[in-house]
Amino acid sequence: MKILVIEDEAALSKSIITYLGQENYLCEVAPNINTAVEKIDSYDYDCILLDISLPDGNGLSVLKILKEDHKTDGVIIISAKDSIDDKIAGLQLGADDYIPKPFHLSELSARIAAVIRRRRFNGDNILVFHEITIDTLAKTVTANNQKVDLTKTEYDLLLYFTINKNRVLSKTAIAEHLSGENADVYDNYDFIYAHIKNMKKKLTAVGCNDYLKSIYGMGYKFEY
Amino acid sequence: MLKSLDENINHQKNWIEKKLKTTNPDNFTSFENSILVRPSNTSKTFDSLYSRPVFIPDDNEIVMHRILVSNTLVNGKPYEIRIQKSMIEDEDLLNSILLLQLGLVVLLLTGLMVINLQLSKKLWKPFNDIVSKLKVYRVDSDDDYQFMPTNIEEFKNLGNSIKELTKRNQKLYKTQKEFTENASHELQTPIAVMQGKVELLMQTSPISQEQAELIEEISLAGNKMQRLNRTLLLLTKIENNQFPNTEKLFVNNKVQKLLNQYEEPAQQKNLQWEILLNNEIEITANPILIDILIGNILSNAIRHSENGYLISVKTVQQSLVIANYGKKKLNEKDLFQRFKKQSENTNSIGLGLEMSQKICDLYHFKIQYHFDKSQHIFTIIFN
Repeated sequence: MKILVIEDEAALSKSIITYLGQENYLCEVAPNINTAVEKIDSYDYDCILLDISLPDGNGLSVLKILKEDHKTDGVIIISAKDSIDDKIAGLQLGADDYIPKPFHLSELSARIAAVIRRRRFNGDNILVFHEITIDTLAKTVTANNQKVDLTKTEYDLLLYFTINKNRVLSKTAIAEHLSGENADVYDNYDFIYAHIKNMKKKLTAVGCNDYLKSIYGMGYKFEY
Repeated sequence: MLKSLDENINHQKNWIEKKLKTTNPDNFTSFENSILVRPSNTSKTFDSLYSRPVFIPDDNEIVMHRILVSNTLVNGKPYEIRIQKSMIEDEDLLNSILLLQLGLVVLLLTGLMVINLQLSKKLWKPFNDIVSKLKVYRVDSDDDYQFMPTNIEEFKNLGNSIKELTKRNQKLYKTQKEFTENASHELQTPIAVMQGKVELLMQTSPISQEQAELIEEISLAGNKMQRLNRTLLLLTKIENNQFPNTEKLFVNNKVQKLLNQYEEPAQQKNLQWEILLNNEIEITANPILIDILIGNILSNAIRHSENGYLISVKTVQQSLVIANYGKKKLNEKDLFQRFKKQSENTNSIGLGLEMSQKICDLYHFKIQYHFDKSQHIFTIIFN
């Protein structure tokens, strides 16, 4: 799957490419609008990551060009501005998602997966990880042909782990993914233990292997 | 007055005496009945001048008269000349003169006053204009001060000095504000880079426990930095009034939505709720800012409550009251100040209440804190 990263900060785009490259995404970088427009004209991308403030103009103009050309590439706006106006303008221009800088790479990866899933309607809504099958349309999980009854949070957690499989996910990243903007209501991130414990219990009850590993208190890793 | 009247009478008498010598006194007739000449029975010549009230039948009133009775010898025969003159005419004259004078003086004085008043009003107009504009002066407003044009050198100087002063202040304020804004804004990207690199570092292997702990701490610090930065940016935006869109909102709706959002963290601490939203409060404000305002107070209540305690959320008249149990009173003076943290919680960044205060300032709401029956009570008065 091809992804275009339109970002002028080289260090940041390198991080994104490194992280996403390990997930079988083919990434390309455009450090300014000119290069971005050239690339968009020549190729189709599954997802475009678009920074708003670029050296040669406002990133939103790329969105306008995409719309004029009737391109169906998925677009996620990444912006340091964290401005509601940009968010609204971007979403109105047809962006699929908006993620303010700074973000966790695992969160970005989850959002990209969601955008790509939504863009493809041809049965791609089934995610398989060994014996675990996740239907992202019906939001159901089956393992070993048995339905696993997960709560919404547990389902989110499993989806997040599956998309970021074989990665160490920090507690902060997990907590923020689960609680969104409410993360600072918690004095600590202990609450994720409870959800992880319950999710694990329900999966092992239907005979799943325990894929989830705790990494030295730093975070968790979903691996086989 | 009296003197001139007497003189006048004497003149008349002298003239009559002269006349009498040339004509026959018995034939003397006066065209004025106030002059009377008749034969006298005393041959003594004398003049007597006195004032006496005389009844005037024509006017049917008694009027003070000045009377001259003079006995004189004409051709050896004594005659009495009697001249009477009403004094009232002179009094009238006197009165009217006095009245006229007085009227003139009053007219002059009032005229002077009016002119004075008008003049000073006109003269001080530029000054008052400056004063009234200074009264509403705000260092954070972008208005260019345009004072009334004037020809008075002093006021012109004053106006110019003040204009320069406000311009200097505005510029200084702007640079300072821009610094916070730019600093926070420019920090976003390096923080994002750092967080990305830390995340990539986590993925490397092998990682020892020692390294893992270090990475975890870097990650937490980065996370806090990010939150701090984001909040500072938001604060600057509120100060810059970059949330101009307002709409009609119901406070109860907002509170209910936030309570749903915070259900999970509240459950985590097993908190009890007492919710009495009987009063409907309608406000016109930016929905995002109201979310932040109420959300901050609610999340504070959740965060600073101990497990199993009660949080009460009420609407009383035009205010929202949120109370949670606590051990000791917070320092009210520092409560709404930037970075004046009053909890030992290192996760807190100390900007939440300042932000709430700023939002309240923006919409002229009031936020109050008091401690009663070991409860921290925050009241937001929407008015």
